[in-house]
Amino acid sequence: MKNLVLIGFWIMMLLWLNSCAGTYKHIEVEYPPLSPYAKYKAISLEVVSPKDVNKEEMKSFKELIIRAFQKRGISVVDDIERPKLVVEIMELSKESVIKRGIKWALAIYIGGPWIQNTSNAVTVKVSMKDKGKVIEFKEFQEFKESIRDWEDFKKTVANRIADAVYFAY
Amino acid sequence: MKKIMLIGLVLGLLAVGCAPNLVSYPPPAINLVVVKGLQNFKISSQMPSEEYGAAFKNVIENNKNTAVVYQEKSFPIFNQMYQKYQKKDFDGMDVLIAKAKISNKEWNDSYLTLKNTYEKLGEANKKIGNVTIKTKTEQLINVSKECIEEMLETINTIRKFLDMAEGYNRSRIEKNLSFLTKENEQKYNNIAESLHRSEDGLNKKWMYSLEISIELNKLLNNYR
Repeated sequence: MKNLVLIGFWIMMLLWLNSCAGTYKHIEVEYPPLSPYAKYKAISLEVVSPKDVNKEEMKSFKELIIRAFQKRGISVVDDIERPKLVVEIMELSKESVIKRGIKWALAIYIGGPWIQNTSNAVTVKVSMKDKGKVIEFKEFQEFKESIRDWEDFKKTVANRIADAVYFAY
Repeated sequence: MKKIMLIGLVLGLLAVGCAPNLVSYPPPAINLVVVKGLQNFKISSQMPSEEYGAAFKNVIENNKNTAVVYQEKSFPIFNQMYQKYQKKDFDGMDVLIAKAKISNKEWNDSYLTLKNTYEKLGEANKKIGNVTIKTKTEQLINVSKECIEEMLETINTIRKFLDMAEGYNRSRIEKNLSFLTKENEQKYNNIAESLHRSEDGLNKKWMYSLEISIELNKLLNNYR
């Protein structure tokens, strides 16, 4: 009985602690109209991924990238004459329910910050093919993004990709 | 069981101890001499051609506009962010980061317009005959090219800094320890330092460009 109360107490404490972790309020940034001097006003997009990437996830990620470009006034067109942005997905994996369950179990039974870590991963390599030249956006290797909210994670990386093009001159 | 719980406790304490050591600096400010110099710039009424006159006027006006966009829109937001970092008051940081992103985009647009006006001045300069003015204009274009390159470098550093700041702010709200890596801490501190250093470089180059503009304007005043 004593053990049951103890376990119940641990569960309550962890639920309470977890409720402290809020969801980041993603603020939609209103972009000023695209400058007439912007280098890229329209691009074609190619998203390359390894075979093990979930097709549905890849499709939704691609849609998010297109939407991020549209929001910045850059059109994504199917035209080989246009500069081509190549987004190579190195990793696109959502933390599984099983993994999350194990983390919860570890946190309940032995304590520790298991649930405060996430194995959600979105890693990309981005480059622009324009007039025979290939320009790689090295910033995508410079720091590792980590977000617990999976949808927000994809959206953030999509926005960063669109920003890299928006600011490239 | 006690041993396992102790491991959990140690892990918990380690997690608390891995708080990032982030260094913040006051935001870069444009030298007041540059701002005032541009505001008080009296453009010569004597010009070698109508096209040249319009292009030179645009150069001065867009320089003024670029300085104003940063100093009046971006700087107050960055300064507010810096003050909040100092007090470790992170309330409303998400809104400030979003506002800073918008103002940085506006600055980027004014930078692009400015870059374009120098190109127009270069085209107009090719068509004039006065060698002294021609040479001075070429010098202005070359000097200003370095200044606008520095400006673009600063704009992109700000963008990367805001991405990192957003990452830390989000991990704080989500209570996500995965973002708090040594690699990210190092990256944040490097970007913050490089942004801090960009103030000096940008001001020196902008000041030099302004000096050449004043010299060119004097030559234009004496043009017949």
